[in-house]
Amino acid sequence: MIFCKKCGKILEEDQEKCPFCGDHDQEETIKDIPKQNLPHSFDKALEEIEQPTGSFSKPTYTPVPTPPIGMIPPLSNWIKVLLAVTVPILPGIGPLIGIIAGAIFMSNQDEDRKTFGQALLTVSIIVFIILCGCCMLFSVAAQQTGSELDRLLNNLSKL
Amino acid sequence: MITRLLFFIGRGICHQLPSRSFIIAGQQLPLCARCTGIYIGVFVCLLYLWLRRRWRGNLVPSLGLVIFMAAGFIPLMLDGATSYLGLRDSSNLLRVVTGILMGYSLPVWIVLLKNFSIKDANTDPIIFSYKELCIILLLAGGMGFFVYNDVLMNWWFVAGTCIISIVFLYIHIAAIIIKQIFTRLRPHHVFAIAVFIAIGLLTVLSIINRTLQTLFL
Repeated sequence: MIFCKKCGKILEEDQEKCPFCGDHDQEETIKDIPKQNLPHSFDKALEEIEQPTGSFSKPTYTPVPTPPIGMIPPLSNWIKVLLAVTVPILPGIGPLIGIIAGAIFMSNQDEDRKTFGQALLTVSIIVFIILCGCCMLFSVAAQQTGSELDRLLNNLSKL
Repeated sequence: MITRLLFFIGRGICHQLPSRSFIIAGQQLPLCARCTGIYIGVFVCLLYLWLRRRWRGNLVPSLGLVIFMAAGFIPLMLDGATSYLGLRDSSNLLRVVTGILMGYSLPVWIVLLKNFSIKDANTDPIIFSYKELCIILLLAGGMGFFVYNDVLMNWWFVAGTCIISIVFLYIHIAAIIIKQIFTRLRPHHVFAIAVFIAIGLLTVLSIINRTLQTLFL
């Protein structure tokens, strides 16, 4: 920033002549301004900033323990993929893991985790119900196949 | 006519094998012992939540309660897996008990998923304590005991409550899925589509089951 050496007004970068006092070659950056040339009040204020008096205490900053809501990084895609795969491929255990993990994520304040938790819980319950349905069909098939086998064995024994 | 309808809906989710089903007042129930247990648990829990006005609850239960409820699935899985694999024979008593242990927590998950809000804070509890879960279990266990022993139970009451619980559960599961996929749909539209899908699904499953049984027999 450039100031007029004579009147102290702020000048534009390309101004060679001060529009207020008309003085030439007055360009100096704020760092180069000698203290004795500064107005009295400005000089005093600068000193107070450099050497704070007793009325000002040194500010202390404590680290924030957790980032504010909305700033939590979203759940890792690896965890999402792992859980989403675990639920359907591990019969019985997968949905159980999904239900517990889903409930834990839903308890979180983070929107991403809440959404994923809700989806995971829904999928887990659906997979469990589908599993029960498959077992039902399997039991029907097994029962019928078993009776067919028994009949076949009986016929063979008769022969 | 109504009996046939109950059996038709029941066939959508259950094999209805006579040897594995309860007989009440001389008539077979439209569900097997395991499914009867599950839907007795569902019915009792739904009734409890409705009477205690927890139907609007959206607060996720504590981790301990979640694990306690999820642990109820394990006996049914063990009993089902070992008996289907032919490792051992199960009994109707074991089937109904393990069914109740699994079914009694299902409405809690359904209510939670139905009311859970992503944007807003969820503050209305569904289940407070283990004591409440034990009360539901005891009530369901009592009903299961009466069904198992064919005491003080009316066929229409047991069959009706079980089938209503099935329809109710399927409608709400369909509604939860639709709500999560089509977030901008209005609640009554979601419900109407869910009813359509649930009834359609149960009908299709029932026809498939019937066809399979006919083919195998």
